[in-house]
Amino acid sequence: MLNATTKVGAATPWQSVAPESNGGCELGETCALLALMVKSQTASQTTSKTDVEFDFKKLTELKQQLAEAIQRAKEASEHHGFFGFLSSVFGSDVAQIAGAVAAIAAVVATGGAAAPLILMAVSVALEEGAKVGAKLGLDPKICMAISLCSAAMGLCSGGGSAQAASTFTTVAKDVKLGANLVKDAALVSGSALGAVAEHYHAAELRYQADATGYRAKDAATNMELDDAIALLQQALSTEQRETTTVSAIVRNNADTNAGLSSRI
Amino acid sequence: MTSAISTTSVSSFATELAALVIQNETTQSDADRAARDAARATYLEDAQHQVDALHAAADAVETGAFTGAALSIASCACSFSATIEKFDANGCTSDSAQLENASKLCGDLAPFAKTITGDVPEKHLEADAKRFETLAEQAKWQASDASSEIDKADRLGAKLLDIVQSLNQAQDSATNAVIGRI
Repeated sequence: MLNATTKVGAATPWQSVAPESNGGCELGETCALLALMVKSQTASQTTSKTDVEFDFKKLTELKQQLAEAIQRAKEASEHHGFFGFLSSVFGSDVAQIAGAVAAIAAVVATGGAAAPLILMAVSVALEEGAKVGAKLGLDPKICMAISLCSAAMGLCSGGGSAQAASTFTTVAKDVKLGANLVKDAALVSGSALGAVAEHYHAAELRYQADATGYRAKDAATNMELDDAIALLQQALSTEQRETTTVSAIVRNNADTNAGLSSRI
Repeated sequence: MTSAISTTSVSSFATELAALVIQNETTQSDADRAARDAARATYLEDAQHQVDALHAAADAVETGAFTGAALSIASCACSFSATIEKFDANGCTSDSAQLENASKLCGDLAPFAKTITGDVPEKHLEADAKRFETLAEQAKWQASDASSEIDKADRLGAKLLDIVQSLNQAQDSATNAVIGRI
């Protein structure tokens, strides 16, 4: 790390390159300085290593939390889809069918007076249909069945017409009531299931939001991890540089001493 | 600044110049570090705001859904009661008509209530979340830029240290050579 602003130069490698004067005392001081600087860099390395380990652990935890959040969001999405489907079935399909049944029943119930005439018309149409079918070569069994239906309709529309109409009206009213109640119940169920589906949708959104938060924390931790690794690398290279520099100073001192000795 | 350099044991103009440049780079590096830390703090803060906005949007979705469902259920309940009333009375009565009106009113209000209490706040909050996401991304870029500047300053510092080291070695060699010549 650059520390040029610091006046005390013990920990700064660039200040340690200052030429030392010769002498055993100076050499000892240089070695002591080297020891101090190496100690300082070792402390820095230890701190960086601790930071790296801490950040790595934090990253692992964040990845796990992120995976859990994504899994929960997926589950919530599945629940949302399931309840949404049920809501659609009850609130739309069942309610529409019940509404249609209620509407038909209402027509039958309100048109009670015309029911015998309708039955008579259907009976005559069936009888004629059976005759025409026989002439056209239709299966005799089918023609017989049509004739039987015609006779049954004729019986209903003939002597027992008043009673049949009354029964029809009563049944139609009951059917209408039941269909309306089913329709309302289906709509209530559809609304309730829709609310449940939206609850799960909201839960899904919350888990997605959590996942977004975990991703942001993950990115920040990654940046911190990069810093810690860079600091560690820098501390290692600084230590190496300091050792080299001090070695050069020591060698230079030795050379100077040797030169002086040889000259004396 | 001059006094800072003079207190060191440097012995040449080049070394002093290198020391000055290193000092300058160190100051710049410190400023970049401060900018990077601030950008990171802003990034985390904006990301948290984004998460909060998304949570609030989810709450709005839930609130809207519950409000709409409550009104729909109320509408169906009124309709249900009106049907029973009409069946019991064997025709329309004033009560059944009122219940049918209430049912219609609740049914008409349900989608509006859902929109007002759910959809509209959700859209606003999603827009807020998007804005915070953009701000967070911007802060991330600033942090990244500051980190690049720090790296650049560190590399330059290392280069200068190498130069100073070379200068000192050269000076030592020269000194030794002079000693040898005496």
